[in-house]
Amino acid sequence: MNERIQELITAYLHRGSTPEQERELFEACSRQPETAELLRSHLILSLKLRTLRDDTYAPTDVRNEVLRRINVLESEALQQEETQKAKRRERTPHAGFGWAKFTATAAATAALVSALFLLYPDNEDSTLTPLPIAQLPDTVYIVTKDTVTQIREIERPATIVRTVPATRLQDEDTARDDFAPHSNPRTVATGGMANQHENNTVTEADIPGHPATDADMAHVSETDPVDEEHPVATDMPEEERPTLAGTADTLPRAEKTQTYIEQYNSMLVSVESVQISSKDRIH
Amino acid sequence: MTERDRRKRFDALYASYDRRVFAYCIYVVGDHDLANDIYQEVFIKAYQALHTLRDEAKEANWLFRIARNECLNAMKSRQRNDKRHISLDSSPEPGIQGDGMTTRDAHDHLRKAINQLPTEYREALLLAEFEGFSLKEIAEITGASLSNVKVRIHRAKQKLYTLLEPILNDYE
Repeated sequence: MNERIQELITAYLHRGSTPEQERELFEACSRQPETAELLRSHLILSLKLRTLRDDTYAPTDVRNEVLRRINVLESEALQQEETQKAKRRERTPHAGFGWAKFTATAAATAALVSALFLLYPDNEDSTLTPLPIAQLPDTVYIVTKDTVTQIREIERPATIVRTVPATRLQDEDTARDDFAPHSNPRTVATGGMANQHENNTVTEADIPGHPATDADMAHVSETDPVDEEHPVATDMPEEERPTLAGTADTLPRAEKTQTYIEQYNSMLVSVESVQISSKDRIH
Repeated sequence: MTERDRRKRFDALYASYDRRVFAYCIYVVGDHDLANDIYQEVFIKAYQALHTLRDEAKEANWLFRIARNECLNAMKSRQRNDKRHISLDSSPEPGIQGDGMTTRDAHDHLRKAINQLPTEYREALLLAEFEGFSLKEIAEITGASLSNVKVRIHRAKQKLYTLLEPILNDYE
């Protein structure tokens, strides 16, 4: 038998042949009976060897010994695993509370930062939401001759009142024919609730440094000729300037005074119109 | 891999290859006592090295490579200590079963014939016929070339035919 047929048979029986080799082997078997007989004897040998293998088994005591040794190895490895876990737990005793600690620290830090921003709201970079306006004190601008002479925070509702003695009004009426309210504010009332909350009334006498009480500002008196400095009072033509002269001569004194105060009040800047910001606060 | 996973995987491996590994060991070394020792060592080493088995599709190749190495090491040791060598011809047959005298005789003849083969031929033949490995897989396990494996198997069978001719004829 040639070597080629032997090689084809070996390759065919042990999954090493290509489809072409298989076709070649089967053609040889069909042409040559001795080739077919050789293939058959190979198959018989393989069958006998398989039978021999299937009748061979490890003795029970040997198998038990294998499993016993494996059990020992397993228990040792399990003990090692437990020891390693215990060591890891010892190295990180509070490992189980790591997230809780982290969260608590973050919450405490956030609370501290919030408290700092609330205590020091002047920080320009602050992005915290301001408190509702009703809970904040209002800022009152004391204006004298178009100049803010003082800024003060007051509790709402508030009424700022300047009482002008009647005698001074009379002197003033005789001394001035011009538009006096701009140069001499008398009363500033805030909000419609001004008359209902007199307990929060702030008078000029209560404001330190105000011209009415401060000696440094004494030169800014009600009789000072400041009208020329007022843009509205001086720039307007004489005939267009608002005047009380038409009524001052004809009305009784008390009514004249009341009218004068009302006109004056209507031209004052309302405290509520003042925009309050953190920059305006008193440091 | 946890220890539990390792054990689970080993149990599956052991159930699949228990008999095959023992058959390979006993017919490669030709010594029952030595085969018993090798068989134990193969599975102990397999258990210890189970984490190195990446491709489960090749677990048979992996396991029989361990078995082959253990067999070769054991045979080298036996050659150094020839007193230990006990041929299959004179050994008892604790692991051999047969239905009757005919089968038993046939198995005796087969065992003796296999034992007379050179180790390389015997090894290749057993891997091919006992375990059903392909030529390529046998080449991977033994480290020999594909053509060399073909030659070994072919020559092993030729010798077996010569030794077993009466049995093969009786089979007809």
